[in-house]
Amino acid sequence: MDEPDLIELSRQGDRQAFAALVERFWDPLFRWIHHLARDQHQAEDVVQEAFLKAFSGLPSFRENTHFRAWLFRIAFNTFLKQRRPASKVVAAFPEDWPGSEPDPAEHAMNRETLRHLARAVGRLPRDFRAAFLLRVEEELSYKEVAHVLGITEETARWRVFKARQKLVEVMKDHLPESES
Amino acid sequence: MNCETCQQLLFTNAESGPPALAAAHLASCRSCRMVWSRLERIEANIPRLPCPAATRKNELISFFLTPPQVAATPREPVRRLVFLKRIGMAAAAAAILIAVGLWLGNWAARVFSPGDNPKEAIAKKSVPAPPAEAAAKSLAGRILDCDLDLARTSDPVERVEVLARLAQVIRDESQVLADSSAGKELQTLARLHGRVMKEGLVPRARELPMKQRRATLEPIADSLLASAERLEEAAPRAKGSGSRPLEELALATTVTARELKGLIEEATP
Repeated sequence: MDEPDLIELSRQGDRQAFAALVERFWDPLFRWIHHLARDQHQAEDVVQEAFLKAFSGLPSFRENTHFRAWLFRIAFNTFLKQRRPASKVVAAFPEDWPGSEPDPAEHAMNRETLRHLARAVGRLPRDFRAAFLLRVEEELSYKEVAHVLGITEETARWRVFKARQKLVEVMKDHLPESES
Repeated sequence: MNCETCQQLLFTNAESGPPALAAAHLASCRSCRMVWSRLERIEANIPRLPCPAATRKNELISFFLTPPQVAATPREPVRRLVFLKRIGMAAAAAAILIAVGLWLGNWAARVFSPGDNPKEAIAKKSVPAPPAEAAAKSLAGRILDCDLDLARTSDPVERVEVLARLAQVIRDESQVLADSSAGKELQTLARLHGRVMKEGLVPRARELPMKQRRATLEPIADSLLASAERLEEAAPRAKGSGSRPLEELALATTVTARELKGLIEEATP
């Protein structure tokens, strides 16, 4: 079923339709919040609460609004409200994570480089990281990024710009000298 | 175009390949081509960054897929709790509860007719209050009781018990309100309940000494699970828009019970 249909049915209180939306959006939302919180339990708390709030708030959801951006905004506000001290422990890079062997894909990094990238992203200021990941991984427009984070479009552009600049700088020693 | 301008273009418009404006400079500048190459590789690998598997996704999906149970027998009268009047003070925990109490006092005041304050309204015994108002008055008083209890105690076990009682009061009142089409108030209570659980009960439970955890938390967790079941039963019968807040209360109660069980397990050798 298409997303707009699921949203409309959910607005009318259809729980199964909303379950399908949870199925569809849990993973990207959890992944984004986890990148911000760097704590699995907190991220799950936030995402769960965000979906419940979304279910309650759906009757007021306006048609033609970008559902993903609306949902991510709810989650971001929830995250800000229940923010706990950021974990200083850098999570161990999972041993079984794909990338232990060089990937045949053109741009794929090996495991070691991926580890450096994970660390570099984790060290970005949270506001930059949030905007950057929404733009690059969620492929939201700058307008949508701004909506999710409650900032202006210009600020969203600036944050993504700074995140890219920092990542390229930090990663330059870990990426082989090859031109595209 | 110099390198700085070129890289500004790259960092701002990297989504669909190198911007046309930068093409000429890129063709002649190895350094900027390297920057572009790094940026491409970084962004291509962002989706490959590790992220743990979420454990509660299926739980939430099941929650929405499972129709709320409808009780076959009439619901028992809502259990009313009598608060213990005890001693002591825990500044941190009290701060949460006192804030909650003040906030709720304001909320209750808004429910009353303009010009009334809760005390005056309670004094007007000759005018029967509608159910939502009555519940709000009663709730405001009981929250205040909890505030006082919490303000008086420095014992970690008592703090947890008071917070559990406060959450129970809110759940009880929510069930009363559910019978009077007070959807908006119910929503407010569900949010308040979530805060008491997340910012009050669970953190205080984590602070309990290991040896006291099981004795203190086990009855609370069991009571929470029973309470969640009653809320799930009540949700489909709620009037107006009351069913969703009750569902939220039920889920928050279940999740908290599981967290408390987890804390008990942590303390079990």
